[in-house]
Amino acid sequence: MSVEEFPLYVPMGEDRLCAVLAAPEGEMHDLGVVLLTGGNYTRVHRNRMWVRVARALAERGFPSIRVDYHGVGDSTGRARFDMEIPFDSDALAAADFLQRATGVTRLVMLATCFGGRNAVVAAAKHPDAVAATVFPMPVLVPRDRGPLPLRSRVRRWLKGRTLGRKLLRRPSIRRIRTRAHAHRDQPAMIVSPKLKEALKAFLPRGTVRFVYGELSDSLVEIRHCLDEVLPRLAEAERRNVRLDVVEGADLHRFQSLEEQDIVVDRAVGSVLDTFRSLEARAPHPAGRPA
Amino acid sequence: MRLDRGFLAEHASHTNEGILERALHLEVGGERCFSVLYLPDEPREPGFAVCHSYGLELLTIRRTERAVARALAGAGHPVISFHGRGYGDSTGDLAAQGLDRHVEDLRAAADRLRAEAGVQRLGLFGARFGGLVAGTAAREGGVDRLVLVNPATSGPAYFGQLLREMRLVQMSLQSGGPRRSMTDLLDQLDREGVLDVLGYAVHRGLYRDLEGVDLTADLGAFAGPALLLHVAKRPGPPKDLLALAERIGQAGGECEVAFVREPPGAVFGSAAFVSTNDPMARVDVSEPMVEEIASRTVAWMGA
Repeated sequence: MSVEEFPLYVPMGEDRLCAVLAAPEGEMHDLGVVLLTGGNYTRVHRNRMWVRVARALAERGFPSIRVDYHGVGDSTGRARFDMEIPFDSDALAAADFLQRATGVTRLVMLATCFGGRNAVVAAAKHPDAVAATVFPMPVLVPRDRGPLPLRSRVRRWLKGRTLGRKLLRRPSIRRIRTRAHAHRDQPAMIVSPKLKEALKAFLPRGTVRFVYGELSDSLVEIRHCLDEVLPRLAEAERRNVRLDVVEGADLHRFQSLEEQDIVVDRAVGSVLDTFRSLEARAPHPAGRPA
Repeated sequence: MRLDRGFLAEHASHTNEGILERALHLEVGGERCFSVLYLPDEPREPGFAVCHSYGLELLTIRRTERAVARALAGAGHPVISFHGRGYGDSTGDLAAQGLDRHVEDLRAAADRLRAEAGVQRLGLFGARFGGLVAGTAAREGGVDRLVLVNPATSGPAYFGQLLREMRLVQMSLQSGGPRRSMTDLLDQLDREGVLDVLGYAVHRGLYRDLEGVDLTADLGAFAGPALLLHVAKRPGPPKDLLALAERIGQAGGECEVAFVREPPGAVFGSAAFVSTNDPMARVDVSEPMVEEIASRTVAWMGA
């Protein structure tokens, strides 16, 4: 199926978000996709990953929109990113625009990094969102806002250095840290309350798929997050969460063509899975097999 | 489900501080090149085309290119920025994108600018790899002005730097990463036709095309005024920038070399949003640098 693309500006208050809407040339499925990035990447994502995803989806009949946040890329405005202040307004504006331009009534949010936080919060707020697929994103925030405690700053400094990382991996150091942790009343970092709140709001009506690399440092963080969120959910809601761990991959900085291929395949696959499961539950009159 | 084409067309442009910004596709060699036109109400000569950089810098330098484009348009100069074939939002195969095609895409963008804005004369803006493409196009003539920011002046030096950065990153990886010499890497490029440089493909065709490009030795027909901006932590332009300025001077062109200081935490061509004192926030540390590049460009145009 041929793909059409439309460069455009999505209105969001006084700002205009530069975006590209991709759509199949013929009939399309009733499922649209909003592609979100971390703050430092523009809408195309590293090495055009989101361009490839958008075109692959359009070839299979799914429209999508990839968008620059305000203050980023070709958009207007100024940006300041804060992990606890997601850019969900940007994601919601893009989602509404996609619906208005294509007529789709169901939406999937697809995101990496900081975009993952935006995707989950936007999915919780948008009544037509049915799924979110999130590649590694920041999950932990400081318990108390302000400078990190000394121990966290030291760990952060060490993690940024090869020798430091080796040191932190030494069994003796791990044992000392575990013992110290056991004596501590409260950890310095906690799972983002906003993220937990958004997950709890969205999971009763939509699915969230986390796709992490086995080697990703943040895998432990998302597991920690799910350990906190899942026990508070009903059985049916728990089934709406899925954590896919890709063996031998990092999937964090996307610094190899091979890892990018994995991200593209998984992203497209997650949308196809969502569509199939929606169709299995209640086939849409205009739907065609993907 | 049907596309509302009228609605899409309505949103292909907007007016930002009195400047019409229009996003569009250029047709070049059967492919679509994503472009943005910045059209002031009363356009004045010359118009400018923005040449983008390579790899991750296509994304990170966009912040600067956008600021310069808006500032030039604010001063009355129409501007077009675009993604070449195989880059960004454009279609096409990067593997087929030799140096000639980079220049061809630039010419197509310049023609569109002339047609839309009614300007005749052309200036080029380029940073890093974009500077190399702008300089290469200027060699062939038809370019009145050049504004280059930390330009790569030679192909081998530019790609050599990319490969060195890749080796540094790989050495810092937890696993240790593969440690290969430059010769090994170039042999692989020769053998396999492509090299994965931190998630960006460097293709043999472009590498070979750029092997012979050295703007400090040959700027061909270009003899127009030029502004060379050296963005760094400390003043003192690198030798190749001074040699380029000298080359332009020898051809009879006026060349100004100016220094723009990188603010703390900012590195030109790297990520703009970085964490500072607050670990949860990412602020745009590049903003003062970007604004200075834009304002110096406009001031130089007005001088």
